[in-house]
Amino acid sequence: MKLFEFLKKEFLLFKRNKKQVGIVVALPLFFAMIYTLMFSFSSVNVSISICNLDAGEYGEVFANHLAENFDSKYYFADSSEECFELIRDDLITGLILGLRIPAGFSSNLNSQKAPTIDLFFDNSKPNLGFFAQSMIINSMSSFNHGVILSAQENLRQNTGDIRRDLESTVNILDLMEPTIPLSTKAYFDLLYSNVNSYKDSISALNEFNLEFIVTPVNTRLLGIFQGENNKGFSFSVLYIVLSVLVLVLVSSMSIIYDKKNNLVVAMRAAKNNLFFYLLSKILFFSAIGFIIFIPSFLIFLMDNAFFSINYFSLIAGVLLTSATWTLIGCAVGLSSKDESGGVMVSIFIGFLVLLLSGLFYPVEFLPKIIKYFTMILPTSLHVSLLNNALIFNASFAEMSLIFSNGLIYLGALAVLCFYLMLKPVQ
Amino acid sequence: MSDSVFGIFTGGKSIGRNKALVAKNVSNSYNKKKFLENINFVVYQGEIFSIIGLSGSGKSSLIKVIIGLCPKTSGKIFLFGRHPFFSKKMVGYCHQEDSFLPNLTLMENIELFSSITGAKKKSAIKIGMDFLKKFRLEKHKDDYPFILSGGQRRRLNIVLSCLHSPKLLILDEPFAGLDYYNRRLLWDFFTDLKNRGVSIVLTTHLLNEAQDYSSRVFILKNGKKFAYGTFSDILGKARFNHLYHIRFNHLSKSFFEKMKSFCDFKKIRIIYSYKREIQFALENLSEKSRIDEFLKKNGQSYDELALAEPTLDEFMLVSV
Repeated sequence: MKLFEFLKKEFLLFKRNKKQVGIVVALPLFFAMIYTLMFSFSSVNVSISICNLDAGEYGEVFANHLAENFDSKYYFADSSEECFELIRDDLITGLILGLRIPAGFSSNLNSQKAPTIDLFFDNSKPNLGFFAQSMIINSMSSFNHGVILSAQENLRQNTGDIRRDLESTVNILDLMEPTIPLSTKAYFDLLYSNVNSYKDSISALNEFNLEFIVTPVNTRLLGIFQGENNKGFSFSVLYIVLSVLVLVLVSSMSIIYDKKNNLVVAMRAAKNNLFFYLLSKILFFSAIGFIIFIPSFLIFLMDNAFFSINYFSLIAGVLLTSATWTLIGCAVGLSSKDESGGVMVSIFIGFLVLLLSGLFYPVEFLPKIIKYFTMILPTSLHVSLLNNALIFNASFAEMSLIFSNGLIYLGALAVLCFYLMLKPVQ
Repeated sequence: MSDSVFGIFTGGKSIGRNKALVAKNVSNSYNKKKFLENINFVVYQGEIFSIIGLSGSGKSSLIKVIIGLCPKTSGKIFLFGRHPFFSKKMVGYCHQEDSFLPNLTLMENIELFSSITGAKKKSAIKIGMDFLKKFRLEKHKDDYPFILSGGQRRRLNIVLSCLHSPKLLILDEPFAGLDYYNRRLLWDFFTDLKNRGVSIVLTTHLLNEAQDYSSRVFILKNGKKFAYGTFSDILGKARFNHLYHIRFNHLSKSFFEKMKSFCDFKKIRIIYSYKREIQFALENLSEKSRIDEFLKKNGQSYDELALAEPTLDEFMLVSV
C-alpha cells in the first residue's frame, strides 16, 4: 500500500515535469541515433576545397579522384592562399578541409620521387585533423594503387627490354664460344657467366612486386567475439552511459525535491517509511531505465547490430544497472544541499563515466592508474552483465558471480542512502 | 498493555499513561556545541503545552530531539509511557516550513501523507476532508498548493500532520508569519483538539496568545530550562509583580542618566525606554512611591500611562 502510494507519487511528479519527460525520452534517442551514425563513418558529408598547382596529368587525376570520394561537395581553389582562406574565413558553409596538390606533383611521381600533399584543416575543431588525415589516406589508397601499378608496368617494360637484350647477348656469346682462342678463354668464360647472372637478376627484377615494398606486411582486424559485431558490443556501453547521465540526474533531482519540501523529514518523523520510500525510487527509476533501454535498443537493431538475447538475464541486468545508478543519484541528492549542487555532482559523475566508458576513446590506452580507477566504478560490471545477456545469451546462473558482485555494490549503496537519510538534522 | 510492560523502556520506573510526553534530563550537542542541557518536563494528555524562548534558544532543537530527527546525547524521552519508536502512530509532527509537495493537489497530498503517517487511506481521506472543511480549504482540494496563501498553506500543513488522528501533535512555530485571523483559526483548532483529549506541544514567540490558550509553558534560555509550569506559577516566581509605565513631558539625557543611577541604587529595573517613555518592573507598590518621590524632587512632570500586572511578554522582556 505504502509502496503503491510512493510509486504513484513518483509517477505523478514525473508526469507533471514535462522537461524531465522530454529529457528521458529524447536523450536516449538522440544518443543512439548519433552513435550509430558515427559507426558508419563516411567522408561523403565532408566538403573539401582542392587547389591543384600541378600542370601534369597526375594532379588532375588525383583531384578528380578525391572529388569523387568526397561526394560532390568540393571546391577548386586557384591558389593555396585561397584554399586556406576558404576554410579560415568560413566563406563556404561546412567547408572544413583544404588540400593543395603541389606544382611538379606529376613530374615527381614520374621520376619516382614521393610528392607531399598539404592538408589544411580547421584546427579549432578538436579531433578533426586526425579524422581528416585518415579520410584522405583512405580515399588515396586506390590512387596510390594506380600509381604503383603504373610504376610496376614501367619497371616490367624496362627490365623486359634489358632481359631480351641480355638473352640476345648470351646467344651471340654461345655462337662465339668455339672461335675463342685458348689464351683468352678464361676471360670469355667470366664474361659469359656475368652476362648470365645479369640476365637472371633482371628476370627477378622483372617479377618484383612493387606493392610489396610499399606494404610488405598486411594486417587484418579480427574481433575475437563474433567477428564484426562491434555495434552489438557498443550498445551495452552506450546504455550504461545513458543510464548514468539520465538516472543519476533525475533520481538526485527527485530526492532534492522531496528534501526541499520536507518530505524526508516528515517520513523520518513518522519513522516507518524509509525502506518503502527508497524501494519506490529504485522501482520507479528502474522503469525509467527500461524506457531508456527500449528505443535505443531498437535503433541499434535497425542498424544491423547482432544480438542473441537471454531475456531473463537481460531484465535482471537492466534492473541491477538502473537500481545501482538510481541509488548513486539518491546518494547525490541526499548529500546535496540544493538543486545546483545536485546537478553539478550528477553531471560530473555522468561525464566521468562517459570519458572512462571507452565509448569515444579506449581506456586501455590511458595510464594504468586511470585503468585501476575505472575498475572501482560499477560500469565495467554492468557492461559485462549486459554484453553477456544481450550477445552471448548467458543465463542468470552463468552470470551468478557478476550478479552477486553487483548486488553487493547495490547493498553498499542502499546502506549509504539509509545513513544519509537518517543523518541528524541540527 | 500495562504500564509495567512499558517499564522496560522507562528504566524500570512506572510512568503514568496520562502523560503524553516525558523529557528526562535531555541534552543535545553537535560539533562539541551544546544545544540543550538537562531538559526535564512533562506534557499531560489533553493540554496545550507551549515551548517559548528567544530565537536560537533551542526550541526547534528540542522539538527535533523529541521527534527523533536529531539524537539526544543523554537523557530519555517517553511518549505515552513508551519508547518513542513504539508510539510513532500516536504522534503527529508539523514542520516549521511547508511539508507538502507543490506538484501534487491537496487531495493527492492527503493520499500520500496518509501512507507516510501510517493511517488507513479511507479514514485518512475522511479526516482530511473534515479538516479541509474546518480550515475552509475544501474548495481547493483539487488545486495545487502553490495557489494557496501563506495562512492556507500552514493550515494544509497541519491537516497533513493530523491524518492519522494523533494523540500528541507536535508543531514547530505554527504561527510564524500568520495574521490574526489565521492565528485565531489555528488556536481554535488546537483548543478543539485539546478538548478531544489530544495533547498539543508547540513552539511560539506569541507569548500573550500562548498565555491565553496554553495550560503550561516551558521557557528555554540558551538551551537550558529558564522557567516551567503554569503562567501563574511562572509569573508568581518572577521578581516583579507590577509594571509602571510613564511618559515625561520633557526628558533630558542627563536626567535619564541620573534616574538610571537612582534605579540601580534602589534595585528597580527599567525594562523599556523609548524617547520620553519609560517602563519600570516593580516588585511591590512601594517602589512606585519611591520613583514618584524621586521625580517630584527633581521637578519632573510626567503622565502615568499604566500600572498593571505583567504579561508573559513583559516577563520575557525582563527575564529572558
